[in-house]
Amino acid sequence: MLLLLYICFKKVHKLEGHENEVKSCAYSVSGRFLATASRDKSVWVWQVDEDEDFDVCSILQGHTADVKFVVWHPTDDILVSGGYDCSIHFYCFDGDDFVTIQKIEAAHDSTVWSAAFDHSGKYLVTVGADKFLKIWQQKWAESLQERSWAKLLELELDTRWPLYAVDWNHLTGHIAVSGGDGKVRIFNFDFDSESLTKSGSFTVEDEVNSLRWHPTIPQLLSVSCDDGFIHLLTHDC
Amino acid sequence: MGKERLDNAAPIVYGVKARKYELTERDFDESIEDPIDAQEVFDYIRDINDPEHPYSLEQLNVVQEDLIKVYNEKEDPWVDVQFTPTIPHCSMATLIGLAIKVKLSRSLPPKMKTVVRITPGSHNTEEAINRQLADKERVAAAMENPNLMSTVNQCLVPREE
Repeated sequence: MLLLLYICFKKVHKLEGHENEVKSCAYSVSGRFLATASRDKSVWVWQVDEDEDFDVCSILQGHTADVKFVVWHPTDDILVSGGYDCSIHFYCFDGDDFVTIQKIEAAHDSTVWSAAFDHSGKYLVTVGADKFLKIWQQKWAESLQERSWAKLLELELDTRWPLYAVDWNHLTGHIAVSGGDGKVRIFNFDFDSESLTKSGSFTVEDEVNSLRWHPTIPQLLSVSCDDGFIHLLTHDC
Repeated sequence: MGKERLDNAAPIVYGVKARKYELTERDFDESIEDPIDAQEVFDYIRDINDPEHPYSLEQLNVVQEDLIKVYNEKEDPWVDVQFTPTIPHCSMATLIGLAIKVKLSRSLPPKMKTVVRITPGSHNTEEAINRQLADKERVAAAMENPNLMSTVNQCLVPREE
């Protein structure tokens, strides 16, 4: 099923700052912050005020190579970034500035391309060019700055090509993964046993760069590909 | 191109493979589709110019037909091309790899993926170079860089004999 979307937008702002391509952007769940990631190795966080003005809040330069993505925690203002330097960085707001809570070096054996939190924010899934899917678990603390993450499990997928995209369904707990081989794989994460089981797959015609579960329609997944098409899939399980 | 001191002032120049193709009846049958083979891939890249020396990649033994493997799997067709820089610290290695990638992206069917990598053991920073060539966003960024592409395109211009 293919869908071409024609939507009318009006340009409101243009934010400058990054030196080259911006790979990723995301709003925090509070709506207060916008984070951007660039090939220039930096992560910028912009603060949005009530008048919809954006001001630079923090410029985070902890990465040593291209940052491929930024993703926000579902309930708290915690930001995660990852990229070509194979590491994942966690940040939070200390009242004035975003500070780094934790850096996980060599989180993958190659570029970390994408990440997603589960509905609770207790788990983070990452995928990389090393063909691995890894799940990290949060050690909770009242203070955001004292939180930490550790690897819970990892799974090498049977593919020849990098994994570019991952998303975690907040309604059903399913994880969707895909990449250079165009094969969208669905996994079920059991929250009690903290284990993963396969739940099906579907192959699209070209490399998958990004995919997202619909926030309210449980089985709906949108998948974007190199061929310029956006595929909408329903996962029957 | 046009550096003061070349990385490799005196490269070894090799003889080139004869370009004789034995034609069979199948070659004249329009209805038979020829799968891509190593010879075809080699033909696309053998005449790429070295960025520093007035020789082709074949003449400098940077590319060889034996180091090309074609996998014609229906669901996932791809080509594995190894290239051998003339010296282990060759600073042009990434550029050469990029030129090969660009030439193949312009020549092979769109669905055919390519892995362009350094022949193991032949370069000091082969891991780093292989990783760059395998990152599609970095390759796309390189192909949008006018200076870089001008140098690459010069390597791809057929030389007048």
